[in-house]
Amino acid sequence: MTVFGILAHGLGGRVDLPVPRWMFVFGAGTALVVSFVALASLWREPRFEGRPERRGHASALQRILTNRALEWTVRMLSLGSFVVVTIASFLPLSPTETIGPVVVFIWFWVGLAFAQAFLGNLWGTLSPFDTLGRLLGFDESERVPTRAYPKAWGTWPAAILLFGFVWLELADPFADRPGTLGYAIAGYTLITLGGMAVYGRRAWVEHAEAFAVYLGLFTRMARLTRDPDGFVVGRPPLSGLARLEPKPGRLALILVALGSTTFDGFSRSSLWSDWTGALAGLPETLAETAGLLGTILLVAGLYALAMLAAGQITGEGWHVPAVRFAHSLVPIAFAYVVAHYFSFLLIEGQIGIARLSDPFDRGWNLFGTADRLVNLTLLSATTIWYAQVVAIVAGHIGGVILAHDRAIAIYPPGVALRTQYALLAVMIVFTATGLLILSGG
Amino acid sequence: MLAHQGEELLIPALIVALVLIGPMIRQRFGRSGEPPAGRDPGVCAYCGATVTGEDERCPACGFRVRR
Repeated sequence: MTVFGILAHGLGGRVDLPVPRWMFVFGAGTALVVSFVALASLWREPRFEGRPERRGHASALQRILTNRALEWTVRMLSLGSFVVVTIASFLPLSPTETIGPVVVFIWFWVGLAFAQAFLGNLWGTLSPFDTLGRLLGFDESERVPTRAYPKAWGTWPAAILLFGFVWLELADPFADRPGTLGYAIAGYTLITLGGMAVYGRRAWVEHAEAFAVYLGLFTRMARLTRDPDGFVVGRPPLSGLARLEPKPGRLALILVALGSTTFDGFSRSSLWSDWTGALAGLPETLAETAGLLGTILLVAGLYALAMLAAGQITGEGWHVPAVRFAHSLVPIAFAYVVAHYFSFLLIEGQIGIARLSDPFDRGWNLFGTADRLVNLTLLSATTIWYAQVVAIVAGHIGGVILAHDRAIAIYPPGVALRTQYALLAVMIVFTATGLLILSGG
Repeated sequence: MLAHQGEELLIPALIVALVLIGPMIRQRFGRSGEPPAGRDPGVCAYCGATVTGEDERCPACGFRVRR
């Protein structure tokens, strides 16, 4: 059983729906087609592409939001929490007995993804890696990096490191060795600080710090951002994704995010249990590794096919449109995070409240919450299903909007719409598959 | 559950197959309708930055140059 499986032991319950689940699947597909037709007839000018950045103005609120003392207080608190979580993650105890796995796999991995999508780039300040890089003088403003970061690498290091994290989470190769998470955190910290030391803090955070690059995708969906002066300003939801610069490895990272969440859902289905239920130890890890890789490649293959069809129309091959429309997959990746993990965050995330008072399982009760029990009645199975349907449909409609906006910005009117047919079809398949996987969980 | 609902994937899969294969068939038989969008040979296809004949990779985005 994976770390997620152990943490998610409390989920379940009876779902009461007025119609069979497969009708939701067809309804969701229909919603996508209707959205596509509506966009074709009503959204005739690009609204996100080339949109000028808003600028903020000095005010009392902006002075608080840009206050350096406040920023560094938050940074140091976050760094202190990171040290506690890392120490707890070394302890040879089960995932629910210390604060380590709960904070890493629920509060950070799931909770921060939610926070970034709605509030903007919180990780930019909360990241202990970024803070350590600044404290150690690895910022480009303090010293010239030993080497220039190779442009050809793009965000490939982040994509590879992100795959390593989801592999650790979903294939759980060290399930029989509690405490491995601590070594993983220490190893990642060393790689990150080493990268910053050689290539500079900003370059490494922008391209290779897996969580900064991954969470940075969701930041682009948020209504809030900062202007070049650091002032917090508003913008239309999703519009920040139109500014996502093309880089080698960016698409790979998005596909790792999308495919890994899909595999996480599939690995909880009865079909996967039928295939691998009898396996244990190394064979189980190998099967999960193959399943994870296979799902990512399957998602990538479907997307590449859609882009091949689009490229046939524009005469560009598959790779150029694949890079151009990669940003349209981000709302879908976020929708999968919401659909698969929001109940996990709200229910299993409560374990962390108790562990805050006793992070190392030493019998402490620092904040008086050590005996707090998980409230399993917070969400019913029916509520979870409706939320999953809404998230999946909204995420895919967001993807269709972004792709449409870019297509009409870069292609002639007669060509733009036709480049989107195949992508729409693939999004319908993603929607149907996503809902079928969730309904089989 | 997935195993029993597999047939529900057939219709979306059929739609995808038709939509994906359609443009390729049209291309094969030379009935693709409108000409491809025009591209500037001195511009990176990925990010729109200016590239020269000597650039192996785009100086702005890092992709191999495709004009």
